[in-house]
Order: sequence, then C-alpha cells, then structure tokens
Amino acid sequence: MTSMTSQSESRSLTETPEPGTLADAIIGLAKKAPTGHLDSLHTPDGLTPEWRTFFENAGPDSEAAKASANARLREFDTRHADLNQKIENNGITYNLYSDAVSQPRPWSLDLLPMIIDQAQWQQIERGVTQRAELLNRILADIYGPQDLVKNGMLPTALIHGHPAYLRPVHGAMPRGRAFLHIAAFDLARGPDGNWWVMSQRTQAPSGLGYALENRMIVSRLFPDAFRALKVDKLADSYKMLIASLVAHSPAGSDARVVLLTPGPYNETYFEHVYLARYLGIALVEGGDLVVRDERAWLKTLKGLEAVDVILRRLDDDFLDPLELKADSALGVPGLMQAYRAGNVVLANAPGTGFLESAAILGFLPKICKALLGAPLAIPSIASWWCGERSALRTLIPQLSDYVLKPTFNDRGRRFVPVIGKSMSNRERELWTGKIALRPEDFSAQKFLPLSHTPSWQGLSATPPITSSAAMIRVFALSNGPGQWQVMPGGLARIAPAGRDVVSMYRGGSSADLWVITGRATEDATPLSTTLTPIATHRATLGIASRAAENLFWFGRYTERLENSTRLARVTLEALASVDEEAPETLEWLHRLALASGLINKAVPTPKQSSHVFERALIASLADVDAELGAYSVAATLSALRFSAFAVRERLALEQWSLIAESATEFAAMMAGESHAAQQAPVCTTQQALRALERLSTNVMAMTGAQTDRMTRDDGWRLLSMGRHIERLGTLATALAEAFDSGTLGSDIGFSLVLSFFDSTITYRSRYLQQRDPQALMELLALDHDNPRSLAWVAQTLSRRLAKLADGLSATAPAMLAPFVLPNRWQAAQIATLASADNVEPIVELLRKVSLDATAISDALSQRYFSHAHGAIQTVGA
Amino acid sequence: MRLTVVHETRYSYAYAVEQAHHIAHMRPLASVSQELLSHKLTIQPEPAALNHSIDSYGQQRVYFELALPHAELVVIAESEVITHALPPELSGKLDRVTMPDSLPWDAVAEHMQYRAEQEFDAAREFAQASPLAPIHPTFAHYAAAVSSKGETVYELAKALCQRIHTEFKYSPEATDASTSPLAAFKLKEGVCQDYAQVMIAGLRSMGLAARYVSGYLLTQPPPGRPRLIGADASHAWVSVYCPKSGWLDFDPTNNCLAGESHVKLAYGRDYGDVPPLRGVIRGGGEHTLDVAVTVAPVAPPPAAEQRADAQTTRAGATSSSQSQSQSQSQS
Repeated sequence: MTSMTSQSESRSLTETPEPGTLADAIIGLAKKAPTGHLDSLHTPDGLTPEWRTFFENAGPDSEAAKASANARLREFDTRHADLNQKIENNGITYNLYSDAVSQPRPWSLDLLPMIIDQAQWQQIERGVTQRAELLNRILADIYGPQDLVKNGMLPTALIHGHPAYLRPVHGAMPRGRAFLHIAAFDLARGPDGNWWVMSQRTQAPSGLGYALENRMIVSRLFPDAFRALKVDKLADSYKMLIASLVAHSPAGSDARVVLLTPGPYNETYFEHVYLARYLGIALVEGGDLVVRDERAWLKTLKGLEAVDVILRRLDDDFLDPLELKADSALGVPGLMQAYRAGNVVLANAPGTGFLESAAILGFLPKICKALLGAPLAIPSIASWWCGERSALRTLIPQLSDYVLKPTFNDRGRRFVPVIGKSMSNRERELWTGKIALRPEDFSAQKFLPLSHTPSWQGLSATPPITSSAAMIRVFALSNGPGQWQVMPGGLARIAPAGRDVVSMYRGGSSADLWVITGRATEDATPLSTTLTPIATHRATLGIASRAAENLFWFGRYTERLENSTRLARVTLEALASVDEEAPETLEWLHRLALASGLINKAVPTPKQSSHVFERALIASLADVDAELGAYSVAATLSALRFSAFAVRERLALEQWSLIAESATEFAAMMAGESHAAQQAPVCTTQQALRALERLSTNVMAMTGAQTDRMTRDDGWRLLSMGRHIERLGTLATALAEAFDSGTLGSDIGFSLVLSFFDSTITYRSRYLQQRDPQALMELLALDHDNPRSLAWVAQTLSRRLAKLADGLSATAPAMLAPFVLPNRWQAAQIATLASADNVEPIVELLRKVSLDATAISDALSQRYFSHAHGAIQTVGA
Repeated sequence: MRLTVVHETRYSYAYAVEQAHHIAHMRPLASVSQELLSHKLTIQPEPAALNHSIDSYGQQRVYFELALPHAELVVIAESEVITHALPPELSGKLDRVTMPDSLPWDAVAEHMQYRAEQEFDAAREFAQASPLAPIHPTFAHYAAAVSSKGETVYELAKALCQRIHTEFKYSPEATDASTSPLAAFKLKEGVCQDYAQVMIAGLRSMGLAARYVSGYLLTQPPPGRPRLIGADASHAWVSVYCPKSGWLDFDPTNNCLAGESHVKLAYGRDYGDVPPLRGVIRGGGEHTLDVAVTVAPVAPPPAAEQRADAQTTRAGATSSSQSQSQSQSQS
C-alpha cells in the first residue's frame, strides 16, 4: 500500500537481506497493528521500504554495521537512554497545570521517528496548502462582508454565537489580508491509507518548538538513516516564517519581532523559550508591552522601543483586557486598537478561534468550492454540527460510529470528547438527551481507526517495539498573499499502548516526523545539535525591564548561594576544631549564621550548646521550604532555581540544567541514612560537609558560566550588579561582626575570617603569619585587585552601573553618591580606624556599607524596574 | 421630544494613575426613531491619543489613552436628540397596552434556527448566547411559565417583562456591572442592567432574538403620573425581535415600552458589548466614581423654564480591588 518512491529504491533495498539482518530481527520484535488499523511498519512480506531503509542504516557507525543484529539492537537501548538523558538535560517539559518550577513534566519523545513517504506527503502538502488558503479567505469574509453567513453557507450560531468570534476586530483588515501566519492541522490516516483532517488550530498553534527539539534529538541519533531516506530539513521553514512576518510589517526589514508568552506557567512554555531563541526574537510577557499612540512598545531599560510584529502564544481572550477578557492580567491594554490601526502585525490575527470548532469542518466542502472553485484536496473526517436539525436526525441512530465533541470551547459548554462505540446504552441515552436539549453545543465526528506506527519500548520490554495509534500535526506557514509553505515535518503524536485517543494531555508521547518530499538535497544533514539562532533579521530590541529584574535577582541568589555554602562549610569545620577557649569566634560564626539565615533566632548559640547548634544548622541546610524558620542553602537554591526559571530564555540550556541538577544532588546527598529501621535518617556532619563541598564545585561552574558564557549586555550587567550588591552586603557584615565580636584577636578567628573571604593564600603571601587588623583591612576592604575586597566589589558595581543602558548611565554617579562605598575610602583613615582600640567607629562604618548595599538595590529597583510593576485594574461606568 | 443629555463621569484616584486606556460608547444613536442633533465629548486631562471608530454594530466607539500621571479623569458627553413618542395605544404601563401584531413565538424560534440555504436574517445574531445573557434551562423554564402555545412573540415578551418587573426588587447595592443574570435571578434583585439581561436570557433560552439597549431615561414625571424609577444615571432596556414586524423595545425596570423618554446610546448582545465607559488603568489604587446624568426636555421658548425641568441626580460609588472593579452606576 505504501507506494515505492525514488528513495525506497536505494541500494540497501534492492539487495536481498541476509538472514539475521537487523530488519529481520525487528520483524521478530515488533508487534503488529490490530486488525482494522493500518500498520505503517509491516507489509505482508516484511517491512515497508522506508522502515527497511531506516533499520539498514540505523547502525551507529561502520563498525556496528558489521556487528551482529543483537549487538545493534542493544545499541537502540543505549540511544534510548541517550535520548531520555538529553530531554532531562535540556529541561524539555510539557507542564500539566502543575507547579511548573518544581514539578515540570518531562517531554515524552519516542526513539523511532514516524516516516511519511513521498506519495503521502504530496497529498498532505497539497491539501494543507489549500486548506490554509481557504481558512484565511473565510476569515477575510467573516471579518469583512460576512457573505458566507448571508448566503447561508455558515450558520450564525457558529460565527456570531461562537465566543471566539471577536466583535472588537470586525472590520479590521490586516496587511496583505493575512489573518493566518501559522495554521496547524491534525491529520490522521485511516485503514485505507488516506489522510484526513481531524482538527484545525488557528489561534496560537503549539508544536513548532517541540518539532524542532524532537528533530534535533532524533536525527542526531540516526544520522545515516536520516541521510539514506533523504529526509527533508526544517530550518528553511523557520527562516521563511520570520522573513514573512517581517515582510508583513510596515516597518519592513527593520521590523522588530517579539514572541508573546503567557509565561512560565503555561503548559508549553518550554517551547516558547525554545522557539524564541531559535528564531532569534525576544520572548516577552504581556506586562513587558504597552500601547502608546495606538502602537505597541516594549518596556526596556532604555525606555520604550517600538514592536512591529507579535508572534503570540497567548490565546485571543487574554490579549487585551480593555476589549476582550476584562480580568486578563496577561494581556496588553489597547492592543486591539493598535491592531485595528494597522500598527502591529499579530500572528495570528485575533478572532480566528471559531475555525477550531469541529462543527465548522462539515461546512468546508461547499465553501471550498465556492471560494476556491475546487473540492477539498484533503477531506475532513465526516463531521456534523447537531445544531442543523436534519443532520441531528441522521446522526442520532448512528451515534456509536461517532465521537462527540463540543462545538464551543467556553467554560460550561466544553467537555472531553466521548467515543460513541464505548458508550453503554444508558450513557448513549444520557448523551442523546443532552444533545436534544442544546443541539447547537454538540458536534460529532466519524470515528476513525488510526493508523499505527512503531514505538520503541526497550529490549527488556514485551514486546520491545509496540504498535501505537498516531496522529500528526503539520504546519502551513504564510509566505505572502495566497502563498503557503507546508513545513516538511511536524509533530507526530502517539497514543499510549492499547489506546485509541491521541493527546499530549492524557499521557501520550511524541515522535519526530520524517518527511520524504523528494526535494531534499544530497547533502541533507541532520540539524546542528546546538541551538543557534537562525540569523535572518537584524533589528534587535533592548532587554525588557522584567527580564532585567529577574536577571538581577538571579545574580543576587547566585551570590547568596555561594556565600551561604561557604559560611556553612567554614562554620561546620570550625565547630569541629574551635574549642571553648575561642568564644569570640563562636560568637562571630553565630552572628553570621543568623545574618545569612543559616539558622533561626530560637536556636541556642554554639556557646550554649555546640552540638544543638550544629544539628540545627545541618537540619536547616536541606530545608527547601524554610519550614524550620531559617532560610538556608536548600531554600536559597530553590529561590535561585525559581529566578533562573524566569529568565530561562537567556540562559544556556546547560546553565539551567546545572542548577536543577545541583538542587537534586544536594537534596540526595543531604538525605542521610537510617541506622536502624525505626530511626529517622540522620545526616552526619561529614555527609553535610561532603554535600556542601560538592555544591561549592557546582556553584563555581554556575558562576563560571555567568562570567564566561553570557553576552556582556545590559542583562548580564544587571546580573553582575546583583551579585556584587549581595557580596558587598555579606562581606561588610562579616567584617563588621569580626571587629565587633573580637574574633580577630585570636589566631583561629583571624584565619577563619580570611577563609570566609577566600583570601587566606593572598594574605599569607603578603603578610606572612602576622595577625594584623590593619593589614587585614588593607586586603579585605581597600585592595583594588582582590575580588573579595569591599573596594573591588564596590568599584566593579560602580563600573557596571556606569555602562548600563548607554545614554542613561549619566545618572550612575549621582545614583550612588549618597551611599558609603569602600572604593572611595582613604587608606590612611581606614588604617587608623582598624588599629584603634575602640572598634565602634569601624564597626559602624562597615555596618553602614551593608545597609547601603540594600539601599542601592532598592534604588536600582526604583530606577530600572519600577515600570515592570503595577497591577492593572479594569474600571467601568 | 427634543432632549438634551449631559452625562458626566468623574474618577478620583487615591494615587496617580500612570497610564490608562479607555473606550467610550456615549454617542446617542442616529436612527429612524431618534435624531441626533449634536454631540460633544470632553475629556480631562487631554488624551495622548484618541480615535473614533465604528463598532461591529455600526455604532461609534471612542478609544483614548492617557499617558501622563493623573489623579482624576472627567469625561463629559453632551448631546441633543429628538425622540419620537409612541402611539397612544402603546404608551403607559404594560397592563394597559395591547401588543402590536407579531408572529407566534414558536414560529419565530423556528425561524432563528439554521437550515441550509435559508434566507439571511441579521437578527439571528441576537438569538445566540452571550456572556452576560446566556442560554440556560433556568431561564427557559422561567420564560416558558408565562407563555402558551400560539401566543405571539410580543405577547410573550410582554408577559416576561411584567413578570420580571413584579418579581424583582430594584436594589442598586445588590449587584454590580459584572453580575451574571443567573446570579441576579437567584437574588431577584438588581438594577436596570440585571432586569434587562434576565429578560434577554429568558427570550434567548426560548430560542428568540433579543438585544440589550444602553441609553438614558428622562424622569420628569408627566402631570398626574407616578415618577419612573431609574433617574440615577444611564439606563438599559430590551429590544425584542419578530420577523416582518421588527424590533420592539421593552423596559422591564419600568414595565413599559420604550418611548420618547428613552434616549438610545447603543445596541449590543449585553452590557459587555456597549458599556458607556470602560477602561484599564495602571496605578491609581482605590478610586471614587461619580456619574451624573441630566436629561432635560428642550422646551419651546421661553427657554428660561428649562433649568427648572432638569433632573440632576448623582450616583456615587467607591470601589477598591486589584482586578475586576467595576462600579455600576445605572438603573
């Protein structure tokens, strides 16, 4: 049934497979599709030509090609593990209403791709191109003259009665009449081998990012098979998408493009981040944008910057609280007016959602003939809208052959689709009754036994390869008026074994979609394995204020984590060695532990009970939710993870996964062991020290990545300022308390202070073994080369601020003027203070530095982040 | 009747509002039944941007932005219209009015349903459910109880209008602009918006077409007649459709048909399509809203008596909330 293509005639197929080939082994391992479903892997004689080519070329390298079939099969398990590791490392997720930060669900991707041969793709491509054009013309009519309603080709109920028909944009005609820029179609293949359109997605279709990610992972695992099958590439489609969006804007090639996301709690946020990064456009939330003079602007550190094109992943309802859903905090007030005025390209245009209703499909054949003068090139699955009484009468007796779907998607009227054949008699009566009451709310689609595709389960599973029902989502991308390009690929979605309904929401999986168009060039290579933006447009935007603020806090938490980790180590080590003869040192450590949140005030001091203090400190270390009243290492790590999550689009994937892994690892290492069955697990001091040591190494990798792997833009400057403000405060407090507690008077105390400042070696080399507070201040407060001296930190902070936001930096010196900054200190004056018997003046000065660090943070917030805040409210009279 | 309308809306904010976007539907309709002689909209402070456009029902909508901090917003709409009186047989309380001819309501409901190749009727849009006037079995039941088979659509509307007027208690505190008709129905209390939306929901739940009318009401009591409720500010009522006969306006708050005392601002599916003034502000904190509407007949000369006839009333409301804070100020 699968037609022969030029690809399938490749060398490997014309040869008779030797006994014991991989292909033969696969036949033995793979389950066949159940009767009534098309099997895309098997033919009566063996494997389909595409799958044979795939397996013949699925060897990892030439060595493995000679290896036995069994060895090569084991290689599949290795790759399967590779794939899962890659998904975890990249943090690919699909969130299910869950707490997206702490419990994202890993993306589910099958090892084996789904393969579409050339003959099938020709039908799909022609049909999808035509349908995208048809839907766009329907939109131009509905938001214009509405002839389709006037001549009875579309019921009023499905347009004016559909909540997704948006009155505020009626009459607005986007440039080039381009309502749709991306249209997605879910297709399924029936037992006879024909493809059918099951549903249409027009508002803000998801999948373009996941499709890319799937391709990047799977093609890398089977590079030879990818080449042998001449699978078409995806990159050109994404380039064209951006080029086309830019071309639709009055700003032309200078157009500034953003991707508007509902934010990190959206189920497909991962792909928003991924897509924005790949397309090389800014990822923004509604609060980052503002409408002025009927234009959209991005709030950046430098002020407002015009935005010309908004690729949006926010559903219609939420786009504009002024004219759409009033309580949407995700949208941009005035955006509909900016759209009506033609000042911003919205991709897709608002108001297309009614086309997603299953009810519409049944009306398309006639409309297609009327508008395009041709029948539908790819049919929709037989669909009926129950609101048409004659259709209802036909439908009810054959309900078992249909799937019931909601006509409308609003709360109160939507429901989970019901498969007629799995209804009991009583259920059928119930549904028939419901339909009779409000027929308009119900639509029905013929039940289609889905075609099956192989899914790798692992050699130890039975069977190792299952046969799973699958659907594909393909994307039509606008390429100018009347022009469409269907991306040769997409998202294959696979039902759980034994199920017949495909949904990522209900435990389904995905697969890379390999399309053989016959157009792929000889040198077709898999996509590069790293995500580099496709360089297609030059106009860039400054950093959004909200992102800037998140980066600033990302910096602060990184530094706080580093300091807390070091302090905890220094303290635990000291408790083991400092005896009661050094009460000043214990006092100093106690004060720092309190100031850094390692313990809470209720915990006895180490002088009172060294043991209780130590246990409390260790217990708090692993306390993620600060339930013990201290805000210690694990809690800081969690805050860091949260702030990293909010700026994920600006971090390398490795940076993000390092933080996530560090948190997991630290929790595991701190978990402790039960020594007896009844005992609660206890984390020993040695375990805690090992965990802290490991974490220190990880933190060094994090700060290293921040220093070496991030572009020195304003975002990075704010991150760096966050780190330095945090460091300034912590170090100034440590010094102030060192003087105040008298710990500098003992050798051990003195060396602990140096150790906390990571400056032991430098001090020893300069001042030998001398214990001299004046020398200490020289190195830790005044030195302009020691990155842990107050002066160095303050100076770096001032420099970053001076470079921030170009023109606005003139305000930097003025902004810092009121504060005590150690880089402005006079050496002589500090020397006098440090060597004085009365420590009060120096303690006071250092405490002021610490307080001012907080004050500088507040001043920065007010100056740069304030317009990222402010709740909006709806008012009416 | 020649009428002047002055509609003044004043927001006073606890803190300065940093930016605001508003949309106004305050221009009276110019139609067969109402002539618009003049209209002027004054906005203080001066908007940074202002745009007049036509909404999907062909009515004027004014969009404006305030880009500078402001602690107060004043919007004044001054209009002059000529309204037309109902024929004497349709005037007065519904009890004494005989409905004009119309089709049986079940035939109208049938007409509203989709059949292939049917003739177009724009009114079908108003037979569809809308957010603040949904189709619901509760309303179907409520409306069905006052109907009988073969009764005309206008008679059904009259019966429903009377029932709501009798059973509902006028109460400005019970509801606000976002109250669903189902909630108002449970309370059996509310203001003109609730009365109107319950009636529309009832008619739609019977398969009929009905729309929401936003407007004003002249409350000067005619000699010897009782004062009409709803002088406070803007007003709202219901327009009911019958093929061939057309639209007929019912006022469930006052148990009458809308006549020369009713000034029409805009039609919509419900309040949400045509609020007189809707805005989204950033900052501002709590605010006080004052709406004052003055509807006055322009008497033939001498003009000196005009002022004496004018009814000026004020409605005040304070609201404070982060998200949805709409202060209803209509009858």
